[in-house]
Amino acid sequence: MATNKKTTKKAAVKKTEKAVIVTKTKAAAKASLFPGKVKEMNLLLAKTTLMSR
Amino acid sequence: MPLSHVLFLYVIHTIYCMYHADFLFYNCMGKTPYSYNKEEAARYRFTSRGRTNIEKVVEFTPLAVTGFYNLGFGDVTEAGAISDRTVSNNGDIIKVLSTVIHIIKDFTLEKPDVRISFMGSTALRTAVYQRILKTYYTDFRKDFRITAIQEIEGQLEEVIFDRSNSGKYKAFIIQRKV
Repeated sequence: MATNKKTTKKAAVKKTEKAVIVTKTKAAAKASLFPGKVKEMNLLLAKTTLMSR
Repeated sequence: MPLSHVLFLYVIHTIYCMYHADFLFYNCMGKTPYSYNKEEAARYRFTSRGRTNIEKVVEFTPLAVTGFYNLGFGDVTEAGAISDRTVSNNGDIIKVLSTVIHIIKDFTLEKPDVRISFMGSTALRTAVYQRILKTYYTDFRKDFRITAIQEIEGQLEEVIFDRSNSGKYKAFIIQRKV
């Protein structure tokens, strides 16, 4: 039970972190001088299988 | 001028640029860059002083994939807008490219872990970037790890940049070697 609660809390934190990143990224794209290019690159990367670093 | 003439001139210009890319960009790595201003943490400006004075902007914007930044590069137009589609023909392409390379080095010195992705505003410009990377591969790879995005059997994949690749890449990703 305690483990389940911990896992749920961890997942919630991860979800919040992800939401913060998305918000920050959207804000950065909006503030960018090249918003169209940023959007295009985000789409391209989303469709791409990236190499692990 | 009729559209057919414009298209003809565009094609001739394209062939000329592709054919002479190696000569045009020769020695751009060692060329003295323009001095640049760092406006914000990730935005730089400099003035190209060729036939006319053209203000240029280089900007690094964080992308949705963690650690990735988009490299934006364009001209400030007379109206004050930013355009990455303008063909300046200012006669100082080598010096301009050298400046951009120095700016990338400056930015990645501060953020060595980031990965910078870029592509041309048109397929032709992306092809020219491929040509530049091919020409300067030996120099670039001393400081940067270079990969590219390529369509392989309908799938987009990040692959190691291969200078002998005759296929076309969609975009490029560079990361400073630590």
